[in-house]
Amino acid sequence: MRWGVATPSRNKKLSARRRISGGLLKGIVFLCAGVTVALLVGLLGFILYHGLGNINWAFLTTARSALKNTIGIFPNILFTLYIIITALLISLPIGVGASIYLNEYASHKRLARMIEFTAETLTGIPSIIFGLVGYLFFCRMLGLGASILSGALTLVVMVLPIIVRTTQEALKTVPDSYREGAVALGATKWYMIRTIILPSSLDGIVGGCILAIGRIVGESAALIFTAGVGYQLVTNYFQALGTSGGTLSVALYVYVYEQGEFEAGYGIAAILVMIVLLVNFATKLVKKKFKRI
Amino acid sequence: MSIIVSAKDLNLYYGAFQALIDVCLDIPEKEITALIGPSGCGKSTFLKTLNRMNDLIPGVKITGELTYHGENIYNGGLDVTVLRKNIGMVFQKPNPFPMSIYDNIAYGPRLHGKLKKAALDDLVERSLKGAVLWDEVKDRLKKSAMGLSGGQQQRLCIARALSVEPDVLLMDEPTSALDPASTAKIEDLMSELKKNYTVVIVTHNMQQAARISDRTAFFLVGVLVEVGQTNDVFSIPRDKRTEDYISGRFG
Amino acid sequence: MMNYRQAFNTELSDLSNSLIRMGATAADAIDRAIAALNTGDKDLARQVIEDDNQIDDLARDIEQRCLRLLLKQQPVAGDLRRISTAIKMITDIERIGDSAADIAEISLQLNAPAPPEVAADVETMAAAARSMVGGAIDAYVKEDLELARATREKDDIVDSLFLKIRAELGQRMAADATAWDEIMDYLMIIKYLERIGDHAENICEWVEFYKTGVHKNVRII
Repeated sequence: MRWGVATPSRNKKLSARRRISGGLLKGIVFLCAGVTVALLVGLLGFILYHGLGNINWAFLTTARSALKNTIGIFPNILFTLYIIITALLISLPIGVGASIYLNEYASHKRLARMIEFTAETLTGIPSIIFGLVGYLFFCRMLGLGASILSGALTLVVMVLPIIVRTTQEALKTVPDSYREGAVALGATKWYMIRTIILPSSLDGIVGGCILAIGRIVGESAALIFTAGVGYQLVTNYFQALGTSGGTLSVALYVYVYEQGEFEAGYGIAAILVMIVLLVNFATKLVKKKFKRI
Repeated sequence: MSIIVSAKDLNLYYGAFQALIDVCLDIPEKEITALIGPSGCGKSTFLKTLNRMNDLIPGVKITGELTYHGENIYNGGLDVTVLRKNIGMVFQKPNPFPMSIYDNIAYGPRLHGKLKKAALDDLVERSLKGAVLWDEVKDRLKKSAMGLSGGQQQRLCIARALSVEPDVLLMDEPTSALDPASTAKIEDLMSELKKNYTVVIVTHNMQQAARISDRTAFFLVGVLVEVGQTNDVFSIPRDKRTEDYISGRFG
Repeated sequence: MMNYRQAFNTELSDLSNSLIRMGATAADAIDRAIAALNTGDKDLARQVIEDDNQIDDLARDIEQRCLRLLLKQQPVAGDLRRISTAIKMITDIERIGDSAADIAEISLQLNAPAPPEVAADVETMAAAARSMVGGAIDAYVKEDLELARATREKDDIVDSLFLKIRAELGQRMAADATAWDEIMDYLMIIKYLERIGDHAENICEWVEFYKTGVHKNVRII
């Protein structure tokens, strides 16, 4: 054992040096974490500080009135809801179906991998490009014009990869032993998927939906092109599908950038921040609820 | 002693690889047949051929004859759902579904047809009693099966297999993930099951095969080297390779 | 082919070696007991009696090792038969050693040498019994079924010699009742020799079991 045992003195020196460098690194890491938290808290504080004061009942429940020269975001809240509902109604079945196919049925591994790759690439594309394509395809080619439907369809393309990816991840975490167990009892593949696979990956699917909602709520660039910036109140869902309407994010952009209404902007920003916080909280809650099984 | 499952010149290929070579093996009714052999010898493959679990693997090709009660298991003779109802399976790792104990047992019966609630309750109770688990879980049937211990989970899986009233039970190393006490319970249970069911078990535990089985079949690189009464195989094996394997000289 | 369980293999061959050594020691004890009888060498006789302890110790040691192997290695098939054969064999070898010691003990009390005709027959019988023991141990060493069978059949020779000498001793007793003391001693000696033959036969039967699992025509495993 020529190399094995370090002399005590060498050992001490080494550990002293290690202690210093280790402490230094720890300090740097702490600093980084501190800066991150400070930035976040600062930003949230700034928005809420400026925004909360501008939120009142009338602001939330009326539409903008040029006559009275008041600003209200009720139509935008409705439009946001409509777009979320429409986009999810379309993308959820397609996305879940696609992931089931990819994970459970696709025997053509190369095709499956190609689809996965495409989906991954789609998530990285800037949303303005979706907006452009959506505008050209849905609004112009299909003649849907700037409408909630065009916007929702564009968002479907955007959130589909998210839903496919999260669902697929959830499906992958379902142990093969469940599949074997069900099949060994004589279950057909579809019965097995319906009764075992889908229920046990529900948390992942719900998580994907929440992520998609977050994405939709925060989207503006793609929607300005496709859903427009309308602010007229339309309460009928089906009527709304055909009309131009700005979501909250879009409204924020329009009020601040085009009309210099900073107070309204801060108000909307505060609401958006609270929605995002709520969505994140909901995600955690859902995850926890399903984890208990 | 009647033969319930019979293989004649059974060959199985995974693509170009031949996993079973001319296997001829009869499984007698209401006996425990142990399949032993080193990893990759084809014993698990053979087991999974009996209830067509190999169907799930792409590129599998099977030739030869495999019959259950004289009916061909492959070649369209038997519906695979019916086959798997009659030939149940228990896996290496306990795999209860992430649902309640009751729903786990009721899964199979629900799958094969509607039952009245009372009848289903009765079937669940009978299955759990059959797997000697009833007394331990009767007060928490609606609780998640995931909360059971490993040994209880495995007995639950046995009960789940019994719930569709099979006559053959395939067990793929059912105790390899369990502690000695749970293993002993499962082994006791198997001797009990033997009265009503035919059991085929794959095991890497020579002592277990010697303890519980009536007949032992030794596989090596896809070939059935030797099959006979367990007593004979473990005291005076006919083949030198069997002796070397069971006495731990290789494998 | 790969060979696992090297430690177990080593222990098994050590066990065989001990068994062979024990057998050789017992055979040697017979030789020396007969020599002491023929020459009237009392020191040699005492030595034989004392050395019997060694055989007993060997038996105890082998027994212990067998039980430990059963416990730790859980042997099956050939291994199981080998170890159980060893457990049974040591009993017989140990008895052979006892018989040799008993012969030596009787030789201590004998005052007069045997009449020549009787002495010659006893020597023949001792040689036959001794060769049976050698044959039995050899059969075990070589795992030779043929040798075991041949050795086993030699017991008939030993038995007939026993009857022959016994008859002769009976006649002498009838002719001269005052010599009863010595005649009884010789009767004991030939009885011990006859027992040695039986034990050798037993060993051969265990060798057959080791190879076939059959003991006295019955599958006992």
